[in-house]
Amino acid sequence: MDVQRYISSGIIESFVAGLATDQEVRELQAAMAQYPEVKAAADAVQLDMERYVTMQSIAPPPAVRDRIFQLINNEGVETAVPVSAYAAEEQSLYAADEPKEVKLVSPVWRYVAAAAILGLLASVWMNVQYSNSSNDWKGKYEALLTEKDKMIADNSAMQTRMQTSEQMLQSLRGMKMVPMYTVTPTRPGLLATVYWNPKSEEVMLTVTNLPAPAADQQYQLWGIVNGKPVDAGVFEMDAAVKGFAKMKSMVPGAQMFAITLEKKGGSPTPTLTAMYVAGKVQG
Amino acid sequence: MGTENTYTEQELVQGLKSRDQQIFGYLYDHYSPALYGVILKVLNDENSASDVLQEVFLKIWRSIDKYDTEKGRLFTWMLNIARNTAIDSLRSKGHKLEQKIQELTNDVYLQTSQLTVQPTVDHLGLSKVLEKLNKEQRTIIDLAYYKGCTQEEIARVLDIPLGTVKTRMRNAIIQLRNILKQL
Repeated sequence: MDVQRYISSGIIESFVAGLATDQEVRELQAAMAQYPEVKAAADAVQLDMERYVTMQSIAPPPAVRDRIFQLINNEGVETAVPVSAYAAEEQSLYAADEPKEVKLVSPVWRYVAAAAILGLLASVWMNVQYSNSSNDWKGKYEALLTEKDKMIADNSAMQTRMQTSEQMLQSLRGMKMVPMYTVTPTRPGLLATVYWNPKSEEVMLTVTNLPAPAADQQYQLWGIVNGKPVDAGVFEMDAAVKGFAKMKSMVPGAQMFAITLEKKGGSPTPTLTAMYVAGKVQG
Repeated sequence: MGTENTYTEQELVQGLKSRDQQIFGYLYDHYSPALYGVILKVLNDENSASDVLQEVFLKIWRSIDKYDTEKGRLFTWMLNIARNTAIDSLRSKGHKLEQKIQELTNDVYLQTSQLTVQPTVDHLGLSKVLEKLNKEQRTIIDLAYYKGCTQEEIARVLDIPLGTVKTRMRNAIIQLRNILKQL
């Protein structure tokens, strides 16, 4: 191909101005991939066209920005909510999107595994010690009995922990996830998530990003039921940031959750000007 | 906006992919005037232009995973989304060719200079560009870029043979680029 001739054929300018036919576009893209000169020429024309277009910038009406942010916030609620009513296979699709579950369970499992291995090693070590030592069979027997009792006790403690975490996992599965996002543009990028089981009314809260409150202040969670705020309790940042804070139970009708900053111990009614995040419950 | 952070293109793309609303806000603040300028010029109506701008930013937010760095710059990608969405909306309104030409020549938004937010130098630059491009050159570029006209339509409007549309477009854009070089 005569590259120079191709470059001066006008196809590049037509392409950049949006005039090229589909076939011409494919042709040009192939040529750009093959010949760096063609790509360089097309990029240069593109840049100048963008400069011409940018010169004609006009500030959009300010309300559009708010509308877009409102829409993407609501969208986050609608698309990211796994609900128990979903079919089983749909839940497995969501499973990959629930890193919080993994975070929640894995440290417990790691602890269980580590404890079990330690217990096992200790037992092996004791066995070796005792069999190598004197013929004090009685002592060995009693020690083993003690060890056995201890391990049974340990085991049942582990089982209880595992059951608790399994129950938590099960209850999370049945819970609605309600992400709450920034409500005012002056505090961008905030996120906290409520897990709520409308049947058991159980509410858990985890905080991804909220500014630390002053010493005499505390964040308080609210459910919005038929337009009226219902207290869901204050929480300690530490627990909610590292894992889950268990909140007061919430009646089934809540349509929204929101967090406000209140004086320590909470307030009977929310301070609306200090609302940090809010999110809709998926209908 | 002088005190605000600036981001590299890569940081912007990564931020968008990780659903960072602060980055999205930054993107909106910096690029919405350029995109709105395109959309308004295509549609010539502030109400529908606002709706399309909203649609465009939602598309950017939703389909950032489809953006491929290899295929071009982020701004080019966003500009294409804005132009295509606006032209689709224009087509759905079924405007006649004559109407489109009319809109380009009576571009009220272009004349109300207080609406532009670009630094004055760009605005002066634009007046120079518009002054030095002849009417045919400006029409051919704007009909193609802003109104999505085909080669056939342009041949008809300018009353020239279809085979010469591409050459005329090339000359118009070469002229445009020469003017830009001198700014």
